[in-house]
Amino acid sequence: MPEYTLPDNIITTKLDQFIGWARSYSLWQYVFGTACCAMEFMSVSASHYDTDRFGAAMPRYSPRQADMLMIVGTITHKQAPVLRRIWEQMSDPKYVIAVGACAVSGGFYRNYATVQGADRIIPVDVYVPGCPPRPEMILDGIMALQDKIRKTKQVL
Amino acid sequence: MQQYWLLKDDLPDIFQQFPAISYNEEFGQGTFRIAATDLGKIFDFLKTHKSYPMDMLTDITAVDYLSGDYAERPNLTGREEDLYSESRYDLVYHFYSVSKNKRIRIIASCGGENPAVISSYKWWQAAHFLEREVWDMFGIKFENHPDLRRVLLYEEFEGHPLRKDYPTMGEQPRIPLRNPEHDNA
Ligand code: SF4
Repeated sequence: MPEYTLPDNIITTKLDQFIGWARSYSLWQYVFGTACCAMEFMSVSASHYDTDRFGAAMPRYSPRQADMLMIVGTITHKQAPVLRRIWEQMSDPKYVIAVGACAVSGGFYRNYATVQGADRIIPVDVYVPGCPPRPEMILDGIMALQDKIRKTKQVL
Repeated sequence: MQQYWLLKDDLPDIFQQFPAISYNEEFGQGTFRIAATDLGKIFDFLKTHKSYPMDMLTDITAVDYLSGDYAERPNLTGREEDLYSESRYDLVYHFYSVSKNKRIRIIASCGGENPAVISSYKWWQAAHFLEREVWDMFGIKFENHPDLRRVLLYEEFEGHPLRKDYPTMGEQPRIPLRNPEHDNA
């Protein structure tokens, strides 16, 4: 049937964009909160700032049900194998946001205990700087990730 | 203002029992410095003291004076031969008398190739974790401690990070680390 004869309530799109649109609004998060940034993150996910608006309101406390890993806080060398294993347990497609100076780069800790950024352990999609970041910045990070998901080629 | 710290005049008997003790006072807080070999005796003394029984051990920590920047240790200058100096570390004990609301600070020096002192676990069970922490961070052994393992760091960790001769940025990763600039997944 030629396209111009389609009725008004039918929209055409590309499969990639359609799946990206769906995935970007159903981010189930696993919150790996280890330090002070996690306090800030609590206010982000509570009703005042409300990650629900972005379809990211569903914290799953099992990595097998999550597709967005939020690293919120300092990562120590003692913890590194745990974080790595959690990331490996998540099923594809999976995305990682590093929240706070510590998770981005080690922050002001440069010593025997601290990993210099979560990306030394697992690949990270979005970096949110700040110590701690303002809630608006974390929301901005989630929106940046949604943008990225919508624009990438979807692996099926 | 009520005086919370035990000063020289509150404890005349400590000077009789331990003639080698030295005392100094700053900011209204007294510090009693004794020889590490006397620690066992002073634990007995404090725990069973008649007027101020110290029934609570609030903290044990240590100080490493290796680097020679301290007026307290003019003989240590951070040289290689100072590594095993007998007075390299200060052990700092804080005790509290719950019934009398008084505190006391005891300091003892130790050092040598394998620094070791007697454990205070027999007198105060709070010493269990505190001494494990000092062992973890400074490598000072406590003899007769029931279970002297690392408490904060992982078992594979080599060395003791709060020693002044531990490299400032000496990381010991447990898993191979990525180099994000070169291998982006
Ligand atoms: S970035 Fe700052 S607020 Fe966040 S975990 Fe590190 S020290 Fe805490």
